[in-house]
Amino acid sequence: MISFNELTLKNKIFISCLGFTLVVSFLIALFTRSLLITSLTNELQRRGVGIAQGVADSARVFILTRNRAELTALAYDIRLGNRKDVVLYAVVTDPKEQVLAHTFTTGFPKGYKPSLVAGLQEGHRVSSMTVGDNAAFNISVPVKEGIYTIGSVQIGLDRAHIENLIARLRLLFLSFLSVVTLIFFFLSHRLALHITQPVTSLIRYTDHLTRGDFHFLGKKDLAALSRDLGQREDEIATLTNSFVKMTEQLARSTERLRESQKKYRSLFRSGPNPIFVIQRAGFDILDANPKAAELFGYTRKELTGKRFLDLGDLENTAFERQFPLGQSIVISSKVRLFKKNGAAIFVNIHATPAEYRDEDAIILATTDITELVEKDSQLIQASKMTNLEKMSAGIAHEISQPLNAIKMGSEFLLMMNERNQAVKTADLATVLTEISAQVTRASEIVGRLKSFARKAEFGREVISINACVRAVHKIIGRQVALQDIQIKLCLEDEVPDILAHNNRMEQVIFNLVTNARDAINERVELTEDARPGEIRLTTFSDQYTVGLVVSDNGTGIDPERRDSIFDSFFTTKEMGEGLGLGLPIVQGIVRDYNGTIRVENNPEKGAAFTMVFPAHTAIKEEKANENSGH
Amino acid sequence: MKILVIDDEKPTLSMFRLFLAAYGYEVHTADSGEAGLEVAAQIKPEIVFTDIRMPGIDGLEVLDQIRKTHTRCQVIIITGHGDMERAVEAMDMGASDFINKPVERQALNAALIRAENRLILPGTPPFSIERITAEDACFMLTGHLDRESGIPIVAALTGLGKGAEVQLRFSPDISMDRGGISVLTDTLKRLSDKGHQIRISGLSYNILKFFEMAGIHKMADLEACDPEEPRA
Repeated sequence: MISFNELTLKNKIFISCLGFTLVVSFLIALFTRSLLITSLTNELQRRGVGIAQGVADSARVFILTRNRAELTALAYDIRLGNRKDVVLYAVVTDPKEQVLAHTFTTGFPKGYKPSLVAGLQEGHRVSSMTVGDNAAFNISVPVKEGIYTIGSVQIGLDRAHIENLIARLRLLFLSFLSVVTLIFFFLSHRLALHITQPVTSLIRYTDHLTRGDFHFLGKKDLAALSRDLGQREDEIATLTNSFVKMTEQLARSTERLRESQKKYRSLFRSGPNPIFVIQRAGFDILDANPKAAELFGYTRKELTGKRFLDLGDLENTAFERQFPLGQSIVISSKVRLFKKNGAAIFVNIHATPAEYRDEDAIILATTDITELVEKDSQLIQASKMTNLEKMSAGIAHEISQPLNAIKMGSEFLLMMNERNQAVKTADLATVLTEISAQVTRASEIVGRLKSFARKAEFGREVISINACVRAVHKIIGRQVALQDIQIKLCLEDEVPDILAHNNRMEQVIFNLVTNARDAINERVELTEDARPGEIRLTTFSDQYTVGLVVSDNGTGIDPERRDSIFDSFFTTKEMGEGLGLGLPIVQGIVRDYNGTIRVENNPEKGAAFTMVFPAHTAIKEEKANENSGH
Repeated sequence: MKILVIDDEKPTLSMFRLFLAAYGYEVHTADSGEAGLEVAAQIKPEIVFTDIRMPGIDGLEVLDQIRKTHTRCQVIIITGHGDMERAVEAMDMGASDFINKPVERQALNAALIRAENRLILPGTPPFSIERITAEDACFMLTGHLDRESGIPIVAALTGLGKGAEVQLRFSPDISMDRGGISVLTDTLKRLSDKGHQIRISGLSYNILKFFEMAGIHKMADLEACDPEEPRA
């Protein structure tokens, strides 16, 4: 059996209404039956009593006179007219129940027994009895003369007649109820339909919506739906209106979503920058835009499924971090990646977390900065060449020293040869040893210059900052010394290595030392302070960092200018002496190695440039720890 | 004859020592300006070679000190390439000569001979310019040429006939400073502009370098004299 809850809403409403109508009808029927039948019977009995009393009043004299004929006439009068149907019989008795008159034409029927007069003093008595074939109510009424009861009038009411009457009434009533029920049946059906029909259409439309079909419900349908509801102002109308609005809204936002998807898709497809979608775990490439495929020389198919880290010099750690939601952060800059053909390109990588086909993903937008990196390196190179140019007189001097010794030694031998004079063995040994030593020295200078002038490779090397300091000291130490400036090396013995380029680190130190030299010369020339110049190169380190301080006792740095000395084209030198690119380039190089540089004035009122780099060994250890931790 | 060589380059010192010893001088060396001045005070050398660029007391200061204390002493400055400006400064300060590094035998010889010649002379001879022959414009120049003493050159060389060849002979003892060179250069330029052919002869090796630096070789034919080997 289907439980009520499983019924459709229409049937629920219908059945509920119908059930209610039936119950009410049933109750009305019961009520009517009990109330109507009783009151009708009572009414009839009362009428019977009235008739009987009427007879009793008329019969009083005839009873006293025992005029039976008159009494009989009276009794027959009762049954005259329409009362004949109701009154079966009439009997007049004396106080001793002796029948004085009656209307039985065929003798007393079987079962008739005049009721007792005694006890009838007041009112009347009704009793049921069967008279002949008929069931009757026997009503006895006393006939009074003063305080004496002189007889009684008894009449019999035909029960069949009453019941007929009741049956007719019942029939009438039942048909009325049936009609009402029918009307209710019809009404409740209509009501159910009225409520449920729009709901059913809503359900149908909703089904369409869930299937993603927004076009079934054209403007026409919506208009029709609204029109149907035009006259209504009930909850269903509100619901439907809301539904229509919701559908429109949904259609609009779906359209918008589709547009925005299309927009982003086209951004992704035609964007000028390579974009990758990679898995959060494992860093597998899930998708890549055509630009990425084009730049890296792979097909999109080849790219998907590749590990992003395999594309170049990338570290896991850069990706294994918390990404702030809704923000794009730079996770690596100047990263070297390789194309399919092995050519290197440099990129900055921006990352933002995302979902891709229900997977945790990272969107990586890369910017190709190869050209920038190359320009950078050209600029650094150019600045280095400028430095070398400025040093050229000094370098010439440096080289002319060994050349001089060689020249003089060989000229000496030549002269002795011309003179045909024997050279003392010791002198010959001196000359030849010196010539050989000086050639070595000259070629060392040339070698250092060559390595200094060389353009740095991209790949960083593990280098010792002390070695760089010593190399720079070798290149310019003597020249600086010739200007009465002493370079003091205070190098910590076991400084950890750093990741950088020997060549560029040397350039940085070179720049700072020549700046220091200029500052000291300026101080000597412009002020009366004639302390001997001193440039101190100090290295220091702790577990994680390696630092170098280049400190001088020159003019120092004007505190107001401290912030601007690292700006491009800022220079305190005379026109033509400096472009103001030295320190910005130094800073650029230092930053490339994840280092910092700052400047302060030292107690000698000169400048002290402090650079701090992350120690390479510390990086290694950290990684080792991380790996063991996993 | 005692010679002191001051240079912060030990190999240079040892080569100087060999050379000068072969010429027969008594050679002393010092590897800094400070040490050089000390040695000079002790041994009172006749000739001093000093490198111009040295840490601490440099060549110019050594020259200055020695000029003050040992007036007879001839100071020869050793310069590097590109240090001509300082060489000229040294000449102004009274250096008797300069030689370039790398030191060539010829230059060294010329410097030594000039220094010795000047040692023989009682003092710095005054500048003079004399026309040797009346028919040719041929002049002999002697003494120390500076800005003031150069005025006779202007007088002598202006008013020559157009297009004539002008010959200047430099005596071995001639010396000059910046002012002298500039007076000479100006005059020669004017002559050259007028279309005169100019020939300068008797130039010592070092003065030749000077003239080349001043650009005189573009206006005149320069003829160097062949110096003989010095003998102590």
